[in-house]
Amino acid sequence: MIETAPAPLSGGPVRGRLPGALRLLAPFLIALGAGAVVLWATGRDAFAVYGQLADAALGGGTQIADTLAATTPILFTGIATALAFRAGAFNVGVEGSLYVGAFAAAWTGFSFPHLPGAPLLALAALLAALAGAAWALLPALARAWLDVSEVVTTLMLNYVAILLTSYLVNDHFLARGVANSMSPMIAPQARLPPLLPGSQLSAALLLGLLLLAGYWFLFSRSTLGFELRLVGLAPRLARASGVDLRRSLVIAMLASGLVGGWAGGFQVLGVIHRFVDGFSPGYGFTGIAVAILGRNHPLGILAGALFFGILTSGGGMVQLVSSIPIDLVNVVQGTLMVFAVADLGRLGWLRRWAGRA
Amino acid sequence: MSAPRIGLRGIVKRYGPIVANDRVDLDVAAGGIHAVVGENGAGKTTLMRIIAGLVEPDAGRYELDGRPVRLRGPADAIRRGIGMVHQRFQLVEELSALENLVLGATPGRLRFDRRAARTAARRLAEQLAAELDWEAPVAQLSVGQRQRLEIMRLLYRRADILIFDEPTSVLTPGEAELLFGIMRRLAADGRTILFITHKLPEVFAVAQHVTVMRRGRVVATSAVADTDPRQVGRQMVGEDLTPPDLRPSGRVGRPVLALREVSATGGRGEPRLRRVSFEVAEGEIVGVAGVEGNGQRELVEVVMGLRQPAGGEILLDGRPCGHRGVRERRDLGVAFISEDRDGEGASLDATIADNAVATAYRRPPLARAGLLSPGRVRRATEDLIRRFGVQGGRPGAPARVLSGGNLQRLVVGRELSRVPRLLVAAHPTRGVDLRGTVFIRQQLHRAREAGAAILLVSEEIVELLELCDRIVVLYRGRITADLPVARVTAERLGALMAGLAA
Amino acid sequence: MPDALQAVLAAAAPASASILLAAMGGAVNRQGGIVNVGLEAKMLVGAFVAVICGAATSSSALGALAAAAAGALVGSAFSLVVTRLGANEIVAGLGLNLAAVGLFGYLLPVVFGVSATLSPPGLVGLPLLRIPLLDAVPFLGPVLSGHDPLTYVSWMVVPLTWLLLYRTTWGVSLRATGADEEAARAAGIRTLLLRDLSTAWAGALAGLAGAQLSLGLVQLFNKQMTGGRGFIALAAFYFGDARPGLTALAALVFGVFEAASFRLQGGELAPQLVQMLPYLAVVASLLVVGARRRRLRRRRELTPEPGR
Ligand SMILES: Nc1ncnc2c1ncn2[C@@H]1O[C@H](COP(=O)(O)OP(=O)(O)O)[C@@H](O)[C@H]1O
Ligand SMILES: [Mg+2]
Repeated sequence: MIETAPAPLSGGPVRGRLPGALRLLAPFLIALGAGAVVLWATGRDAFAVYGQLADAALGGGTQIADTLAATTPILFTGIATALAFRAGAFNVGVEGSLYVGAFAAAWTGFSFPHLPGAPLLALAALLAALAGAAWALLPALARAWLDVSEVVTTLMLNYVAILLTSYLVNDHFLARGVANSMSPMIAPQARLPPLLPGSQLSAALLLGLLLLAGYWFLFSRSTLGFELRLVGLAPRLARASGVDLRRSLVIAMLASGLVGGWAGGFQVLGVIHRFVDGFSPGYGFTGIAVAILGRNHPLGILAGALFFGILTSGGGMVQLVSSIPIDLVNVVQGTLMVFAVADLGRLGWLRRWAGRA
Repeated sequence: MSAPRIGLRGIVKRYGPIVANDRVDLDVAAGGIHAVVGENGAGKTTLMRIIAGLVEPDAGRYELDGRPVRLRGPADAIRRGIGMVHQRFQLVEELSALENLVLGATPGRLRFDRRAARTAARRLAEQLAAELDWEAPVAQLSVGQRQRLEIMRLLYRRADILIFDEPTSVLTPGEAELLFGIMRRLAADGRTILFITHKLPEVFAVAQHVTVMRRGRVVATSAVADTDPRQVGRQMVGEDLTPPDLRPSGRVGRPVLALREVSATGGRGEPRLRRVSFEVAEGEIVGVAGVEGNGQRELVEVVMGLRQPAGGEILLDGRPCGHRGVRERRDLGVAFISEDRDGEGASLDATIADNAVATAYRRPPLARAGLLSPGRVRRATEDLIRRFGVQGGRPGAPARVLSGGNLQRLVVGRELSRVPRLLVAAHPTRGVDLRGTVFIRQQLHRAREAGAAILLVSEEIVELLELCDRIVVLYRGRITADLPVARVTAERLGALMAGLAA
Repeated sequence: MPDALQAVLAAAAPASASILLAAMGGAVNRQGGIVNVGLEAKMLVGAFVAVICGAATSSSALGALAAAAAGALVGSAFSLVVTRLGANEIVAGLGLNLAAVGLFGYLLPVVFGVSATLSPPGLVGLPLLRIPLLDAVPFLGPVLSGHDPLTYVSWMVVPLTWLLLYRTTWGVSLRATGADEEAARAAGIRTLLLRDLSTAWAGALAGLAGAQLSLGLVQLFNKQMTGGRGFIALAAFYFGDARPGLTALAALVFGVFEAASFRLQGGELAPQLVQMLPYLAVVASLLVVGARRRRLRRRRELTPEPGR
């Protein structure tokens, strides 16, 4: 009874197709529409709020820098998720990798205060990557050798990671004299350099962009990337062509977990500078939305990450100035996730309408 | 004379360029067994699916008892008393036999009355003289039991026209006898039975009428009493194809592939290949003849490295390689045309270019040191499209846009773009249009003349006789004959494939 | 020690009720072929609606009914996106959870003027019922009796689920749909409709589970009050292979963990480590099942043929 097959992103054959632009934009329109309905129903002017939000996110140098800072962890988790999706591995455990990666980076940062900056940073990044990859190892092996669906194992391990890091920080590495559950600060030399003083933007963004370039290179210029893509797209063809499916699957899952570890690690090294219990507002899950909406394409991932970056940083500012809770952003994002995987082309009336328009 | 139970007039069904049923006329009398025979791809299954309401014909009339009908789906068909036992059973393996029996049969009732269902089940089992464990999940039943369960399901729904699509292809001889007994009993009760088969002896054992199909058309319908196996065999194969000269030049070199006592088992652990031994040499096409399900699939997989043999030895150019994976074998010069075109052979979702280089992407000139050159990939694809006459799509388009025949040209081109040491070709022309078929056969011939060793698995007698140097016959997992082509005739081969002693 | 055990078990009964309700719904849904990751959202909706309607009508019973209806409604909408628009149920379920969390995070301050916790005036909780005979059972009395009605409902749902799945044609058809949709459709079953109904049913039970939290355990709504119980329910029906008995057992055991982890706060064993157990249990059980299946397969494949 227990399901083992990898879940396809959208079930069944594609019955009808909407024109390309509408297909790409429809989920966004629906999600922003859902947010607008909530706003209007509670007596707010949705257009005004969205305008404010855009302004708060993009209306100036500092604003843009903060938006890019908000984009950074999502860019990482988007890449992490897409790496797995491309190879047909449904990794929904990037959130877990992110937590253990963040903890590993923070632990390195406050445990070796005597190391100079560069080696300390390198060590922190290395351990974050290892921790993140290790978190994906068990689901990867279970899928490759035991045919156990990675969907449920990775989903479950997210909560284990959140609870485990919470336990570690509360019971063993609690900073003295703070009210909340956080670790000590990392050594100053372990911080990634800020890109724009006065904003949260750090060099982590550049690392993210570099990684994105690497992602592009992998899938369009390397035989390994071709292989992974073939495994995701056409596993039987790949097998008959001589590709080792298990090896590809494990590689993709580990790479995904590794980048997930970096997502958390660089958030610690670049922005929060310590480990905070439950610090992620669901970056890993946002990464799923980013990968799907961006169709695993590098530019799509970048655009998706920016969209959520704008939403988060703009939403945060709007909350401050006009007391509209940032939670609204979650309504938009949640709706977006639902409709990102829905095949609206199955709606005959929508297809006909789009054909006429 | 009263109207036939089923009457088809001018039925046409097309799948893209393929005409699966071409102006078919068929009358089936009530209360008897009517056999339909024909080679693979002749259109038998399509025709039966039309009768069972699973496929709507593009044109033509369908009458039941002389009255025209239009079926809206299989549920409608079963309401009119028509049911089909499919080649692939439509049972839910996880549910018990009893649950499968009643599944969907009483949509209006909420309570699942186990006792009533069991009573009905017992009565049906008695009627067929076939007992089975009603509480066991279907996954635990033997193939024959499953088939009988399918029959009982139809009877439970009061079907009086029963269609069997190659029911014996999955049965042991004993079970087949059991099935024939059931069929005779049902016919004696006044039910109408349509029976598809490849095996002529079966026709003459149970049927009263036989219809022969070839290339989508009905060639002949006769009373069994008025014809004989030779005549039906000739009608099946037809003599309308003038083959291009693909005679081997006869320069056969050293053996490339050698199998020694190779065995393999299927998914349920049942033996599928039993101590198979033969060789294929340079410049030689060895045909593996046999009706589907006699171990061909397993043979191909074992040779390709897609399946672990359960015993025996496989040698490539004299080196044992039973333990090697697909990639290692391909690196030794093995190429593969899979019978599973939309899956193993090609992917409809991937682009034409991806499909074209799916086996060569690691080698120069496409790649060096792990780096892939997109420009070279595109050029290689265009080259392949040109050389092998693939029509209908550019390299960047998804392979879905290609017709079946053109997709197969792409696959054949990919595998033969370099002359392989060994080519494993499984049903390379199945479902391919006539021109494509001729083209693909020529390519195989050319590869042989260039020195490749070719293992050709096929059910098509014409193809085997036309191309092969030698033919081995696979029957129930064993090699039952290994003959030079000169000593084989169509009739003899048909008999061997059907398991009759030569 | 027996007293402590008795106290934990007595606390576990109401603490596990919401998990049990949601898990039984999820199991039915799973048998129909949908892995419902959105239970958490439906619980939250149920908890909210129960408080609002309960306060408006001054009736906890009406509050609970409204919660079930709301859960069913959300479940149906979710189902339509999955069955009719082919959406991946995992991603859509995660999205639904996020949207629900966001919606209540927004509504509480904007509409009700509270930051996280809503406790409208006139809200009456579910009564605690003492069951005369059960009450008298030695040791188990406080474990079996003295709970809110929805806790008893959660127990009754277990045999009900079994009846539904194995003794109705609906249940047989649903299981067929989940196991092999193509074969089920060939048998004339309206598989999409059945799936939708099963998701609506799961939604209704999750809504009731939410009501049990906001009217039974406490008398208020908090935007974080489900606290991952939807995922524990998922863990329970995965662990129980979607079979009613095993799923219920898992849900009850997880409820005991939860009751225990509350008592552990400030103790020697960290509560987080206990809270992990359901999730680890699922991973472990999946691995065991996978390993067993693999061993069977290998044995079958590699059996050499015995002679000629
Ligand atoms: N669903 C389909 N889509 C495309 N082609 C089909 C389909 N079904 C059958 N065909 C084609 O129609 C022809 C007749 O097939 P079929 O009726 O299965 O023949 P038979 O049962 O006699 O072997 C074959 O060429 C086959 O490839
Ligand atoms: Mg057929």
